[in-house]
Amino acid sequence: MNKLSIDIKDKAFVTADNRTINVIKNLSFELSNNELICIIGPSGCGKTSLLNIIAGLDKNFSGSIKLDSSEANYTSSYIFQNPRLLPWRTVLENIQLTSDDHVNNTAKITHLLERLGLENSLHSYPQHLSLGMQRRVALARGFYKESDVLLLDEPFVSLDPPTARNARKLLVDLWCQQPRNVLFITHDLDEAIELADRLLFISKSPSHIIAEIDIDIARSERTEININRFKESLINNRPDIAHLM
Amino acid sequence: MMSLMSRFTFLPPLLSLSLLVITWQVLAVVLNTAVLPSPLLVLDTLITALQTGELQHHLGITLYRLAISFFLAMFLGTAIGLMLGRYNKANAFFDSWLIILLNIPALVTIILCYIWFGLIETAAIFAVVINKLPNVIVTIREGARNLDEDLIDMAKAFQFGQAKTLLHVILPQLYPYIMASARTGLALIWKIVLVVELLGRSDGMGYQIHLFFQLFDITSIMAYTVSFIVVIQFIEMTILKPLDKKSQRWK
Repeated sequence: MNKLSIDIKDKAFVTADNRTINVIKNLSFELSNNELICIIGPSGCGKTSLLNIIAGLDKNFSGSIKLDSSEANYTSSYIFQNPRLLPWRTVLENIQLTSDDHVNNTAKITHLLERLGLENSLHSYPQHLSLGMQRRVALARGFYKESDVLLLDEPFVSLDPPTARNARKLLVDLWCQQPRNVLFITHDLDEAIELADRLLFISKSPSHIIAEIDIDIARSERTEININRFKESLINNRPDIAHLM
Repeated sequence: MMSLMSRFTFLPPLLSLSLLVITWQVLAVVLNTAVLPSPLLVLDTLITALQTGELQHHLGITLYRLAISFFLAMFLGTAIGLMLGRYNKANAFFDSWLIILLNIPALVTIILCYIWFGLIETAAIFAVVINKLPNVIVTIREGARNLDEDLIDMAKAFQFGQAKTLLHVILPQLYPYIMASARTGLALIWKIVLVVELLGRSDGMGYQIHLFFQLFDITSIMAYTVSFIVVIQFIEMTILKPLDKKSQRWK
């Protein structure tokens, strides 16, 4: 169930000096059973373009994205590289705005924010929070909205290592409590091995998938040592994708 | 400490206003001429005009015209400016219209409106709106060009829909531009409403001032001027300043 099939035949854009650049070519994969997929690829390979297409921000491509083999609307939520909170709305309002139900949902949001250690910032404006806190609010916003797929575009990229480690743990916690399909973009292989059920390696543009790796370490055993061991064996066994690691 | 601070912030404007009145009084005494009545004389005339109710009547009518044309111009200007700022093609097409509208003298549009539509209230209000509209459009268009695309993408990604996006994402970003054009707009509309009244209405401040001019009643002209300076100050203090403060609270 909730199988999302992504099949992008071609995505190109035209530059200012009229050259056509192919960003994505024949990229297809499936996401199902609430799995967490990490996408790894060189910078500029069209990873963000891919997420924007899935999020419906970019409709100018050929191909299709289907939920359970129908073209009917699927819903997505998006956690961006920068938090993108509305500075003129409080934390609570920022999260409330993503849902259409008019019932009083303050209790549910408060509960969610409590788990993220933000229970005292409910009525703060985003600019009064640290970047780490803003990213946690963005995380809460992404999870608060029910969706068929949650998209994350390097959401922890400019955090210091301990904060980022914490944020990754929170992400996995939230995902375990509210399971759903997750597509996580990163250039950090360690991060990907820690989080993912499956890794997708993407070539440089025009990008397509060059390797799919299942991660068979149990979630409770993803310690630094095990992650490093997995990485080493991956580098040794797959020389074809070693340049992407 | 707080009360001391607030008293000090209140003091400088009060001082500068008193200085203005004193200078006026001294000039009036030194020059001793009929064309510059003293502040006391003006105050006296102002009180008499208030007692007869004439001032309230004409000021009220002018304020009514001001309010209608102000809100019409702001509403239309924001809508059109937002559209031109967001859609380059529309902007390229209508840009020359805007430049023409911006540069037609107020007097010309007023007279044309009266000739085409007759000496009626609608023509008067229409003339004021046409004069203010291009300024609002240009200011809001500038704001619409500077909207944060990241936040608009965020609204799309979370399926906000048009009404929610406008209310929570776009309008808060346009707010400083709307406030700026409201301020300059109020000042401009005052001036134009008075000219419109002078040329084709038989009531309102403009009409009265025209009448006083013909009677060479300078004291009354100044009394009426003082009364609307007070009104404008009142609008600034009770409406615009609090709105400014409210919109800044997240910073």
